[in-house]
Amino acid sequence: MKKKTKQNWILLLLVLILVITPFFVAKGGSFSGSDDEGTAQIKENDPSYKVWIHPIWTPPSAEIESLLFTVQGSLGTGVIAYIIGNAHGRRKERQRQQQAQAKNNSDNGR
Amino acid sequence: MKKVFRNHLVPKVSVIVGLCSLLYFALYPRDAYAMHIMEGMLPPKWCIFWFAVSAPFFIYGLYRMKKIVISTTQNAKIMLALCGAFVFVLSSLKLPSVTGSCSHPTGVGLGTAMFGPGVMSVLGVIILLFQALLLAHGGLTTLGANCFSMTIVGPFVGYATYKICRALKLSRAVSLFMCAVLADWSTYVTTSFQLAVVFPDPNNGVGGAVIKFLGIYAVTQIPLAIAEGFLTVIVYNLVISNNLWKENALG
Repeated sequence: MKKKTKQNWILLLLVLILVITPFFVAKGGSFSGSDDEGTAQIKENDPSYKVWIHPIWTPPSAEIESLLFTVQGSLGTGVIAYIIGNAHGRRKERQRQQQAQAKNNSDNGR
Repeated sequence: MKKVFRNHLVPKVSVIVGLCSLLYFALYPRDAYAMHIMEGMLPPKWCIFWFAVSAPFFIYGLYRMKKIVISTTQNAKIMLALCGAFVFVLSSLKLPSVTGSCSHPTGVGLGTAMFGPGVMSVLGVIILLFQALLLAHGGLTTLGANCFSMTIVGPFVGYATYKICRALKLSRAVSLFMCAVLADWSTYVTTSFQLAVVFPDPNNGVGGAVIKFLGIYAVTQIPLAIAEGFLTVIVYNLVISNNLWKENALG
């Protein structure tokens, strides 16, 4: 158990490094979406292509968009945290009960 | 924005086209930040083609999901929810990459390793629909194509990777890492091919277009895929150490 926890901290650190390095490597990068660049490339390859349909609803502003993204992320995080937290609590409780029982048994044996 | 121009050493004409499209984006921000292939960016016949290709996998996914829900495997339903939630979280994270642009991981690796490739095609569709309807991210007409790359090719490549890694006697954590990395990366490689077939390069044909789209999607995705691999192992470790899932159930 301890080994896995340590491994997780190391992995988390690696993720942080991976996310932060781009700011040093690609200095001056615009950090726009790769999907946007893809679309620009489409326009370049086939300038005559007409977008024939538009999304039926778009977030009215960047703020609303980030709100919805946050909602999406936090919904997922909530579910994951609940499941793992619940399991963690159950495991601790089981351990506690086992310890109490072992103590009881040894007390009775005396 | 300057960097984009420096990277693309293109003739004057395409610079003008590029400027026009930038102007287009400035005027119509609705098209910004679309996931994979956005609404209207594929001609109708291709939309229909990808829907037809993806549909059988979706049905197979429903069949697999039903089996898991009625199975007696301990915590099967809970883990299914966790895998879906994991995709939700990861596909909402737009991370910066060394290429100076942003993209997001897919998160399908965890569910693939736990339940096989079929199930992700159902969970993935839920996420793609959420993003298409509420975030104008991706699209309803391109849903088939996006499903094919993210929820079919990704998971199947990931699953094959996992099996091969396990056959090579690599540990479960390493195999899972490889599974998640390749599932993520192959998704974006598929997107590049999907776009290149429809929009060949004016000078170098489909091949030239593949290279260009790979340069945009696949290269950006490499560090993100690795980050996704790490995150997948973290969640998996938490699942295992809290007795939610038996370690040997992963094969």
